[in-house]
Amino acid sequence: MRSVKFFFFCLVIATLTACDNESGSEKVDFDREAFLVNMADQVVRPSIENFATKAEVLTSASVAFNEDVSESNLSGFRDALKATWLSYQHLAFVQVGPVATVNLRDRVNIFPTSVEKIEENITSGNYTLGAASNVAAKGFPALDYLLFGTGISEADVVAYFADQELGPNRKEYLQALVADIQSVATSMAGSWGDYRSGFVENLGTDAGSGTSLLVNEFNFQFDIRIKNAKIGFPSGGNPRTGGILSPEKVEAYYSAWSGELAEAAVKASLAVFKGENFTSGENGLGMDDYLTALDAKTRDDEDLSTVIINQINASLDEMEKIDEPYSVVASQEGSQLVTVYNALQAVIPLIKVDMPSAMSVSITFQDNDGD
Amino acid sequence: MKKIKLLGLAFLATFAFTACDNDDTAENDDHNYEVPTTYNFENVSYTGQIQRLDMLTELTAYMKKANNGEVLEAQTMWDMYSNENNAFDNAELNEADSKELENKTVEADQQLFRNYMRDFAAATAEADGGEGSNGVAGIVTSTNDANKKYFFDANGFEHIQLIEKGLMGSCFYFQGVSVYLASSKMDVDNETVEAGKGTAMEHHWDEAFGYLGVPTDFPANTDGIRFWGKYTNGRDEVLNSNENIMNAFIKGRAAISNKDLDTRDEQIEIIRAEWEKVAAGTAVHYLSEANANFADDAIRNHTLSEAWAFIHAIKYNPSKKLTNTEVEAVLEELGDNFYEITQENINAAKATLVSAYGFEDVEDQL
Repeated sequence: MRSVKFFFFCLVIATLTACDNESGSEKVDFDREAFLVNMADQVVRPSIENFATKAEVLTSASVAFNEDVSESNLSGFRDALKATWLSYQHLAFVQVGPVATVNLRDRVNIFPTSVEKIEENITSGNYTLGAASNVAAKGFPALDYLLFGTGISEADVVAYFADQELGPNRKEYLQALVADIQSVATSMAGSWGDYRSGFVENLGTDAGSGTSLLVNEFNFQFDIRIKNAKIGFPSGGNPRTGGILSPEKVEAYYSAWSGELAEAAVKASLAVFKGENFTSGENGLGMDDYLTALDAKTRDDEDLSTVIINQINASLDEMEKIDEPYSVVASQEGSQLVTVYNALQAVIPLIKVDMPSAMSVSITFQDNDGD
Repeated sequence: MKKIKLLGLAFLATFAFTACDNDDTAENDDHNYEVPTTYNFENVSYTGQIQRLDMLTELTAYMKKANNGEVLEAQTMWDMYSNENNAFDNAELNEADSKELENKTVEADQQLFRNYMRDFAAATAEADGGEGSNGVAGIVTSTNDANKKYFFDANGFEHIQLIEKGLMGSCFYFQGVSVYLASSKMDVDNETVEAGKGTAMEHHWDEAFGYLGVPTDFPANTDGIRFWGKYTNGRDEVLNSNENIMNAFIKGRAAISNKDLDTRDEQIEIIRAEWEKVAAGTAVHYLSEANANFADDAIRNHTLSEAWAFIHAIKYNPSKKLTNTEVEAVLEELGDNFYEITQENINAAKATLVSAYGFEDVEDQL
């Protein structure tokens, strides 16, 4: 009798202990608060500050150009635009709190830009930049057109703004575009402090928690704005294009900075993933450490965090092989950009399915194209 | 007594060793889950796809009036294309206002189809029921079979085929293999089950299946097959397409429900490859028909228009065997006037397809 009882005892023990690997993830040895604090103080805040600094230089350059429309001022203006645009590539990965409030990505970097809309606004002089109809007529891509696409040589561009008739309107539009970027920068920098405490204290993994926001924004930027918008749509690499080439859809079409911006963006994805200190580059508590603590594996039972880093680096290797502007590369079917697209695509199941699953986070954005 | 005790320990030991390897099972080649023989799963839903097939059915029925001399309205076709202004006889389709053919058509072709509809309507107005010939839009009757008559534009293109078969490619096929079986629809949640719809991944898979136009117990049952289902069945004898495609859809769905994503990915490649063979095989079939009826303006232009649309569809598969540039070259071979096409043109187009798809041994049976 006692032995029979023992048998059942064993059975109960076996049932109770055998499969608690699911609940085990809750007890994982990882300080989520320290992770959020690192992301807030060493990643997001300095990135916002960096963007704000660059925006101020952009504003000064714009003022100087407005006062004296010259080739040298144009050159300074272009440099400032590039620096701010590069700075954006990092910040766009952490669109949380005030960065989300201003909807940074949609506010300053919708491309391709609408030349038609820009010229219409300039001619009429009557526009509301915040209106939905103007999302593709402002931000960096609009400045890209105005400072590069309005003439072949620098002298041509200067002539465009010095035009007797439309020059004043054009300069005014330019100022308005820069002021819009400046106001976004000021607003983010001013509001981060108040937002921070709520962010680092929301320690769960449900929608709205710091971890969930970071994972979702990271994915959105990587999947939708880098893989698709910068690479997959112009090159026809994304199946949704039907393989149709649209070289005019690259980022920075007129200045031909497309490659530099995209590489900066992919490098930023690594920095954010690893929780690197924005200023020093020193490694901090990031998503990689969280995955390691969870002992997260890929479908092939490899270390997830390592595979993500390796695959992003493999994408960068492919990008670095490209010398020409993306608009030139994308005009050829099956170009190197398709190779880049495929390399970036290989990251997606890892960061968008495996990572959220390991962290018990839900991806809350989805393909807006319903059934 | 001792035996029972031992049994208990043995049980505990066995259980402890085996209970937690569920992570590993997916890597074993033998799937420890059942794959049903029909598309019979829990929470399957693809009403949106059925509605779109219904929309194209109504649009085609309207367009066919041109073959009887009626003058068509571009606005009517546009309304059916974008589901506006209660364009359909079936009220359920009008009410499904978020469902339409246009916004599911590959973006690069949306304007193309609007233009086809505009040009088609204009040609029917110009012809006003009259007879067609080279340079004149109108109805052309087969010299061999007076029951067969088709409306062609002045260049011998049959807009009904460009639009109906064209949308099968640029909408149904495109959605099936390029959208629903691609990353944006497959790299999604597979944990949370919504009643009636399954997980997001399961649902997307079902939606891809919905565009095939076959019943869930296809190919045992071929009742009600339409659009791609009809052409899959049409090439089945030579390509074994019915079973190849259907089995892959069933196996992939079972794999998703059992978190076996490697098997899912294998099935995606099978579906893409087999579906593409149906498109290419159907094009070859029609090119052969065109050749066989070269002297009959009605049959030749009709079958060439069919072939043209199926060749054009080949573009919209991410794993396609031809590049889009090569597809364009085949279409250019067919030229822009089917009254003036040569048999050399037709054979050249056919030869490219036959060699790309390895149809050398079966080209005449397709």
